[in-house]
Amino acid sequence: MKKTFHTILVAIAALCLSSCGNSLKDGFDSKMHTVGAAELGTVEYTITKVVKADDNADWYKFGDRKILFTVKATMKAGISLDSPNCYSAQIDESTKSITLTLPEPKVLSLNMKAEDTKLEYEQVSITRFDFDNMERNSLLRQAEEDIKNDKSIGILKDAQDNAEMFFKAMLAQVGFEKITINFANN
Amino acid sequence: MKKIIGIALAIVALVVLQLQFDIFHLKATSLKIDKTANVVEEIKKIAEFTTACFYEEQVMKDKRVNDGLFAAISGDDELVLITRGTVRAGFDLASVAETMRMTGDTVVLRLPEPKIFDVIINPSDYDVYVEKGSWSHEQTVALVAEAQNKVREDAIESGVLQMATENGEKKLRQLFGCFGFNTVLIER
Repeated sequence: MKKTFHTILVAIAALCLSSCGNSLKDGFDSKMHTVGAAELGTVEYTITKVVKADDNADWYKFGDRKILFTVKATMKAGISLDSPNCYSAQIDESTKSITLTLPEPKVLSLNMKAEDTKLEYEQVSITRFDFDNMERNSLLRQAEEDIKNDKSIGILKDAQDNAEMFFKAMLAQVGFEKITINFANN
Repeated sequence: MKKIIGIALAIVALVVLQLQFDIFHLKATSLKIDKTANVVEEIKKIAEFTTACFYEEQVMKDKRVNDGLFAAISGDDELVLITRGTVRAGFDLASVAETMRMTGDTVVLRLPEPKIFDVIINPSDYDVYVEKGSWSHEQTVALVAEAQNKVREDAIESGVLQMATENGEKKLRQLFGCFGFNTVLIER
Protein backbone atom coordinates (compact mmCIF):
# COMPACT_ATOMS: atom_id res chain seq x y z
CA MET A 1 0.00 0.00 0.00
CA LYS A 2 2.83 2.33 0.99
CA LYS A 3 4.60 1.54 -2.28
CA THR A 4 1.47 2.35 -4.29
CA PHE A 5 1.09 5.64 -2.45
CA HIS A 6 4.69 6.58 -3.30
CA THR A 7 4.12 5.64 -6.95
CA ILE A 8 1.06 7.93 -7.08
CA LEU A 9 3.02 10.80 -5.51
CA VAL A 10 5.83 10.39 -8.05
CA ALA A 11 3.30 10.31 -10.92
CA ILE A 12 1.56 13.48 -9.72
CA ALA A 13 4.92 15.25 -9.23
CA ALA A 14 5.93 14.25 -12.75
CA LEU A 15 2.67 15.66 -14.14
CA CYS A 16 3.14 18.94 -12.29
CA LEU A 17 6.76 19.29 -13.38
CA SER A 18 5.86 18.61 -17.02
CA SER A 19 3.89 21.86 -17.08
CA CYS A 20 6.66 23.94 -15.51
CA GLY A 21 9.16 23.66 -18.34
CA ASN A 22 8.88 27.25 -19.64
CA SER A 23 11.28 29.52 -17.89
CA LEU A 24 13.16 32.40 -19.42
CA LYS A 25 16.67 33.25 -18.35
CA ASP A 26 16.70 36.39 -16.26
CA GLY A 27 19.72 37.68 -18.11
CA PHE A 28 17.87 38.41 -21.40
CA ASP A 29 19.35 41.57 -22.85
CA SER A 30 17.06 43.91 -24.68
CA LYS A 31 18.23 44.37 -28.25
CA MET A 32 17.95 47.81 -29.78
CA HIS A 33 19.07 49.74 -32.81
CA THR A 34 18.33 53.01 -34.56
CA VAL A 35 18.21 53.54 -38.31
CA GLY A 36 17.74 56.58 -40.49
CA ALA A 37 14.60 56.93 -42.58
CA ALA A 38 12.97 59.44 -44.91
CA GLU A 39 9.24 58.98 -45.23
CA LEU A 40 6.70 61.73 -45.62
CA GLY A 41 3.38 60.71 -44.07
CA THR A 42 0.57 62.72 -45.65
CA VAL A 43 -2.59 61.13 -44.28
CA GLU A 44 -3.70 59.43 -41.07
CA TYR A 45 -6.78 57.22 -40.82
CA THR A 46 -8.38 56.23 -37.53
CA ILE A 47 -10.01 52.85 -38.02
CA THR A 48 -12.27 50.94 -35.66
CA LYS A 49 -13.32 47.31 -35.82
CA VAL A 50 -15.39 44.81 -33.90
CA VAL A 51 -13.42 41.59 -33.46
CA LYS A 52 -15.48 38.53 -32.60
CA ALA A 53 -15.00 34.80 -32.57
CA ASP A 54 -17.24 31.89 -31.69
CA ASP A 55 -15.46 28.69 -30.70
CA ASN A 56 -18.14 26.02 -31.01
CA ALA A 57 -17.62 24.66 -34.47
CA ASP A 58 -16.09 21.24 -33.71
CA TRP A 59 -18.20 18.18 -32.81
CA TYR A 60 -15.95 17.05 -29.95
CA LYS A 61 -16.28 20.29 -28.02
CA PHE A 62 -18.93 20.37 -25.36
CA GLY A 63 -20.18 23.86 -24.73
CA ASP A 64 -19.02 26.97 -26.52
CA ARG A 65 -16.90 30.03 -26.03
CA LYS A 66 -17.54 33.49 -27.40
CA ILE A 67 -15.35 36.56 -27.28
CA LEU A 68 -15.77 40.12 -28.55
CA PHE A 69 -13.33 43.00 -28.66
CA THR A 70 -13.54 46.50 -30.04
CA VAL A 71 -10.27 47.82 -31.43
CA LYS A 72 -9.02 51.16 -32.72
CA ALA A 73 -5.96 51.63 -34.91
CA THR A 74 -4.26 54.50 -36.69
CA MET A 75 -2.84 53.94 -40.13
CA LYS A 76 -0.50 56.40 -41.82
CA ALA A 77 0.36 56.51 -45.50
CA GLY A 78 2.63 58.64 -47.60
CA ILE A 79 5.73 58.50 -49.77
CA SER A 80 9.35 57.51 -49.35
CA LEU A 81 11.94 60.24 -49.90
CA ASP A 82 14.88 58.09 -48.95
CA SER A 83 17.21 59.01 -51.78
CA PRO A 84 17.16 61.09 -54.96
CA ASN A 85 16.64 57.77 -56.77
CA CYS A 86 13.11 57.80 -55.34
CA TYR A 87 12.15 61.11 -56.94
CA SER A 88 13.22 63.29 -59.83
CA ALA A 89 12.60 66.84 -60.96
CA GLN A 90 12.78 68.52 -64.36
CA ILE A 91 13.16 72.27 -64.13
CA ASP A 92 12.75 74.97 -66.77
CA GLU A 93 14.04 78.18 -65.22
CA SER A 94 12.93 80.38 -68.11
CA THR A 95 9.25 79.55 -67.53
CA LYS A 96 9.66 78.88 -63.78
CA SER A 97 8.17 75.47 -64.26
CA ILE A 98 8.94 72.18 -62.54
CA THR A 99 7.80 68.61 -63.10
CA LEU A 100 8.32 66.49 -60.01
CA THR A 101 7.98 62.72 -60.14
CA LEU A 102 7.37 61.12 -56.75
CA PRO A 103 7.30 57.43 -55.78
CA GLU A 104 4.09 55.47 -55.41
CA PRO A 105 2.36 56.13 -52.08
CA LYS A 106 2.37 53.32 -49.53
CA VAL A 107 1.20 52.49 -46.02
CA LEU A 108 3.94 53.66 -43.66
CA SER A 109 2.66 52.47 -40.30
CA LEU A 110 -0.19 50.85 -38.44
CA ASN A 111 -0.51 51.46 -34.74
CA MET A 112 -2.98 49.35 -32.75
CA LYS A 113 -2.21 50.37 -29.19
CA ALA A 114 -2.80 47.73 -26.54
CA GLU A 115 -5.00 50.13 -24.56
CA ASP A 116 -7.20 50.59 -27.63
CA THR A 117 -8.08 46.88 -27.71
CA LYS A 118 -11.02 46.54 -25.36
CA LEU A 119 -12.45 43.22 -24.29
CA GLU A 120 -16.20 43.90 -24.33
CA TYR A 121 -17.69 40.44 -23.88
CA GLU A 122 -16.48 36.95 -23.02
CA GLN A 123 -18.63 33.89 -22.39
CA VAL A 124 -17.23 30.44 -21.63
CA SER A 125 -19.25 27.30 -20.87
CA ILE A 126 -18.42 25.42 -17.69
CA THR A 127 -17.04 22.51 -19.73
CA ARG A 128 -14.50 24.69 -21.53
CA PHE A 129 -11.28 26.43 -20.57
CA ASP A 130 -11.14 30.22 -20.45
CA PHE A 131 -9.52 32.14 -23.28
CA ASP A 132 -5.88 32.70 -22.40
CA ASN A 133 -3.61 35.50 -23.56
CA MET A 134 -2.11 33.50 -26.41
CA GLU A 135 -5.57 32.94 -27.88
CA ARG A 136 -6.64 36.55 -27.36
CA ASN A 137 -3.40 37.72 -29.00
CA SER A 138 -3.98 35.38 -31.93
CA LEU A 139 -7.43 36.93 -32.52
CA LEU A 140 -6.09 40.48 -32.26
CA ARG A 141 -3.30 39.64 -34.71
CA GLN A 142 -5.91 38.54 -37.22
CA ALA A 143 -7.74 41.85 -36.76
CA GLU A 144 -4.48 43.75 -37.28
CA GLU A 145 -3.76 41.79 -40.45
CA ASP A 146 -7.32 42.36 -41.71
CA ILE A 147 -7.00 46.14 -41.28
CA LYS A 148 -3.53 46.18 -42.84
CA ASN A 149 -4.68 44.30 -45.93
CA ASP A 150 -7.98 46.15 -46.45
CA LYS A 151 -7.57 47.73 -49.88
CA SER A 152 -11.11 49.14 -49.85
CA ILE A 153 -10.45 51.93 -47.35
CA GLY A 154 -8.76 54.15 -49.93
CA ILE A 155 -5.92 55.53 -47.86
CA LEU A 156 -3.40 55.46 -50.74
CA LYS A 157 -5.50 57.77 -52.92
CA ASP A 158 -5.71 60.28 -50.07
CA ALA A 159 -1.98 59.93 -49.43
CA GLN A 160 -1.28 60.75 -53.08
CA ASP A 161 -3.65 63.74 -53.18
CA ASN A 162 -2.20 65.19 -49.98
CA ALA A 163 1.40 64.65 -51.14
CA GLU A 164 0.56 66.52 -54.35
CA MET A 165 -0.95 69.43 -52.38
CA PHE A 166 2.01 69.52 -50.00
CA PHE A 167 4.62 69.73 -52.75
CA LYS A 168 2.61 72.21 -54.81
CA ALA A 169 2.40 74.57 -51.81
CA MET A 170 6.09 74.14 -51.04
CA LEU A 171 7.28 74.66 -54.63
CA ALA A 172 5.01 77.66 -55.13
CA GLN A 173 6.55 79.20 -52.01
CA VAL A 174 10.05 78.90 -53.49
CA GLY A 175 9.08 80.61 -56.72
CA PHE A 176 7.84 78.01 -59.20
CA GLU A 177 4.82 79.15 -61.16
CA LYS A 178 3.95 76.08 -63.17
CA ILE A 179 4.08 72.93 -61.06
CA THR A 180 3.30 69.40 -62.24
CA ILE A 181 3.42 66.48 -59.84
CA ASN A 182 3.52 62.93 -61.17
CA PHE A 183 3.62 59.65 -59.31
CA ALA A 184 5.61 56.61 -60.33
CA ASN A 185 2.50 54.43 -60.45
CA ASN A 186 0.61 56.67 -62.89
CA MET B 1 -6.25 -4.88 -6.21
CA LYS B 2 -9.44 -2.92 -6.93
CA LYS B 3 -7.92 0.11 -5.24
CA ILE B 4 -4.78 -0.06 -7.40
CA ILE B 5 -6.85 -0.33 -10.59
CA GLY B 6 -8.91 2.67 -9.43
CA ILE B 7 -5.79 4.72 -8.80
CA ALA B 8 -4.27 3.68 -12.15
CA LEU B 9 -7.47 4.74 -13.90
CA ALA B 10 -7.38 8.09 -12.12
CA ILE B 11 -3.81 8.68 -13.32
CA VAL B 12 -4.78 7.75 -16.89
CA ALA B 13 -7.73 10.16 -16.65
CA LEU B 14 -5.38 12.93 -15.50
CA VAL B 15 -3.03 12.31 -18.41
CA VAL B 16 -5.93 12.26 -20.91
CA LEU B 17 -7.27 15.50 -19.44
CA GLN B 18 -3.86 17.12 -19.83
CA LEU B 19 -3.60 15.90 -23.44
CA GLN B 20 -7.11 17.14 -24.25
CA PHE B 21 -6.27 20.53 -22.84
CA ASP B 22 -3.21 20.71 -25.05
CA ILE B 23 -5.15 19.59 -28.15
CA PHE B 24 -8.00 22.07 -27.50
CA HIS B 25 -5.49 24.77 -26.75
CA LEU B 26 -3.60 24.20 -30.00
CA LYS B 27 -6.89 24.12 -31.86
CA ALA B 28 -8.03 27.31 -30.19
CA THR B 29 -4.96 29.29 -31.29
CA SER B 30 -6.08 28.58 -34.86
CA LEU B 31 -9.50 30.03 -34.06
CA LYS B 32 -10.60 32.45 -36.78
CA ILE B 33 -12.28 35.81 -36.26
CA ASP B 34 -15.59 36.52 -37.99
CA LYS B 35 -15.60 38.87 -40.96
CA THR B 36 -16.46 42.38 -39.75
CA ALA B 37 -16.16 45.83 -41.30
CA ASN B 38 -13.17 48.11 -40.84
CA VAL B 39 -14.77 51.48 -40.15
CA VAL B 40 -12.86 54.66 -40.96
CA GLU B 41 -13.78 57.07 -38.16
CA GLU B 42 -11.48 59.96 -38.91
CA ILE B 43 -9.25 61.14 -41.75
CA LYS B 44 -6.52 63.63 -40.93
CA LYS B 45 -4.19 65.43 -43.30
CA ILE B 46 -0.64 65.30 -41.95
CA ALA B 47 2.90 66.21 -43.04
CA GLU B 48 5.06 64.01 -40.82
CA PHE B 49 8.58 63.61 -42.10
CA THR B 50 9.89 60.49 -40.34
CA THR B 51 13.66 60.57 -40.40
CA ALA B 52 14.71 58.01 -37.77
CA CYS B 53 13.30 54.74 -36.46
CA PHE B 54 14.27 52.97 -33.25
CA TYR B 55 13.64 49.26 -32.71
CA GLU B 56 13.84 47.37 -29.44
CA GLU B 57 13.11 43.83 -28.37
CA GLN B 58 12.51 43.34 -24.68
CA VAL B 59 11.19 40.87 -22.13
CA MET B 60 8.38 42.07 -19.90
CA LYS B 61 7.42 40.11 -16.78
CA ASP B 62 4.63 40.25 -14.25
CA LYS B 63 4.36 37.99 -11.21
CA ARG B 64 1.69 37.19 -8.62
CA VAL B 65 2.56 35.42 -5.38
CA ASN B 66 0.16 32.60 -4.51
CA ASP B 67 -0.67 31.45 -0.98
CA GLY B 68 -1.65 28.05 0.40
CA LEU B 69 -0.85 24.42 -0.26
CA PHE B 70 -1.58 24.62 -4.00
CA ALA B 71 0.95 27.43 -4.30
CA ALA B 72 3.64 25.20 -2.79
CA ILE B 73 3.13 22.73 -5.65
CA SER B 74 2.39 25.02 -8.59
CA GLY B 75 4.51 28.08 -7.67
CA ASP B 76 3.65 31.71 -8.38
CA ASP B 77 1.62 32.99 -11.31
CA GLU B 78 3.75 34.47 -14.04
CA LEU B 79 3.21 36.33 -17.30
CA VAL B 80 6.19 36.82 -19.62
CA LEU B 81 5.90 38.70 -22.91
CA ILE B 82 8.52 39.21 -25.59
CA THR B 83 7.83 42.57 -27.21
CA ARG B 84 9.25 44.23 -30.31
CA GLY B 85 8.69 47.97 -30.27
CA THR B 86 9.18 50.59 -33.00
CA VAL B 87 9.57 54.32 -32.40
CA ARG B 88 9.21 56.70 -35.35
CA ALA B 89 10.62 60.20 -35.02
CA GLY B 90 11.11 63.21 -37.25
CA PHE B 91 9.78 66.65 -38.15
CA ASP B 92 6.26 67.93 -38.49
CA LEU B 93 6.43 69.82 -41.79
CA ALA B 94 2.81 71.05 -41.72
CA SER B 95 3.77 74.71 -41.46
CA VAL B 96 7.20 74.65 -43.09
CA ALA B 97 6.01 75.75 -46.53
CA GLU B 98 4.61 79.01 -45.10
CA THR B 99 7.91 79.98 -43.45
CA MET B 100 10.30 79.17 -46.32
CA ARG B 101 12.31 82.00 -47.87
CA MET B 102 14.47 82.06 -50.98
CA THR B 103 17.04 84.31 -52.58
CA GLY B 104 18.66 83.21 -55.83
CA ASP B 105 19.85 79.65 -55.43
CA THR B 106 19.55 79.71 -51.62
CA VAL B 107 16.54 78.51 -49.66
CA VAL B 108 16.02 78.98 -45.94
CA LEU B 109 13.92 76.41 -44.09
CA ARG B 110 12.64 76.92 -40.56
CA LEU B 111 12.25 73.52 -38.95
CA PRO B 112 10.38 72.79 -35.73
CA GLU B 113 11.94 70.66 -32.98
CA PRO B 114 12.04 66.95 -33.86
CA LYS B 115 9.46 64.80 -32.14
CA ILE B 116 8.35 61.23 -31.63
CA PHE B 117 5.37 60.47 -33.86
CA ASP B 118 4.59 56.89 -32.90
CA VAL B 119 5.52 54.20 -30.42
CA ILE B 120 4.26 50.96 -31.93
CA ILE B 121 3.75 47.57 -30.30
CA ASN B 122 0.98 45.92 -32.29
CA PRO B 123 -0.51 42.52 -31.35
CA SER B 124 1.85 40.93 -33.90
CA ASP B 125 4.76 42.62 -32.12
CA TYR B 126 4.49 40.62 -28.91
CA ASP B 127 4.52 36.93 -28.04
CA VAL B 128 3.13 35.39 -24.87
CA TYR B 129 6.15 33.35 -23.79
CA VAL B 130 4.91 32.16 -20.38
CA GLU B 131 1.42 32.39 -18.93
CA LYS B 132 1.15 30.62 -15.60
CA GLY B 133 -2.13 31.19 -13.83
CA SER B 134 -5.00 33.26 -15.11
CA TRP B 135 -4.16 36.71 -16.49
CA SER B 136 -6.89 39.04 -17.69
CA HIS B 137 -6.75 41.00 -20.94
CA GLU B 138 -6.45 44.23 -18.94
CA GLN B 139 -3.40 42.92 -17.09
CA THR B 140 -1.71 42.06 -20.40
CA VAL B 141 -2.63 45.49 -21.79
CA ALA B 142 -0.98 47.09 -18.74
CA LEU B 143 2.22 45.08 -19.34
CA VAL B 144 2.32 46.02 -23.05
CA ALA B 145 1.71 49.68 -22.12
CA GLU B 146 4.66 49.44 -19.73
CA ALA B 147 6.77 48.07 -22.61
CA GLN B 148 5.64 51.02 -24.76
CA ASN B 149 6.77 53.53 -22.14
CA LYS B 150 10.11 51.75 -21.77
CA VAL B 151 10.79 51.65 -25.51
CA ARG B 152 9.97 55.38 -25.77
CA GLU B 153 12.38 56.19 -22.92
CA ASP B 154 15.10 53.95 -24.38
CA ALA B 155 14.65 55.56 -27.81
CA ILE B 156 15.14 59.05 -26.37
CA GLU B 157 18.09 57.89 -24.27
CA SER B 158 19.78 56.26 -27.24
CA GLY B 159 19.52 59.48 -29.25
CA VAL B 160 16.69 58.88 -31.71
CA LEU B 161 15.85 62.61 -31.80
CA GLN B 162 19.47 63.49 -32.48
CA MET B 163 19.58 61.03 -35.35
CA ALA B 164 16.21 62.32 -36.63
CA THR B 165 17.66 65.85 -36.70
CA GLU B 166 20.89 64.94 -38.50
CA ASN B 167 19.27 62.61 -41.00
CA GLY B 168 16.29 64.94 -41.57
CA GLU B 169 18.53 67.89 -42.41
CA LYS B 170 20.57 65.72 -44.77
CA LYS B 171 17.47 64.43 -46.58
CA LEU B 172 15.96 67.92 -46.91
CA ARG B 173 19.23 69.25 -48.38
CA GLN B 174 19.13 66.41 -50.94
CA LEU B 175 15.48 67.15 -51.75
CA PHE B 176 15.94 70.89 -52.24
CA GLY B 177 19.17 70.25 -54.15
CA CYS B 178 17.01 68.31 -56.58
CA PHE B 179 14.74 71.41 -56.92
CA GLY B 180 17.77 73.42 -58.10
CA PHE B 181 18.94 75.07 -54.87
CA ASN B 182 22.68 74.99 -54.30
CA THR B 183 22.48 76.22 -50.71
CA VAL B 184 19.94 75.01 -48.19
CA LEU B 185 20.04 76.84 -44.87
CA ILE B 186 18.19 75.29 -41.96
CA GLU B 187 17.22 77.33 -38.94
CA ARG B 188 15.14 76.75 -35.82
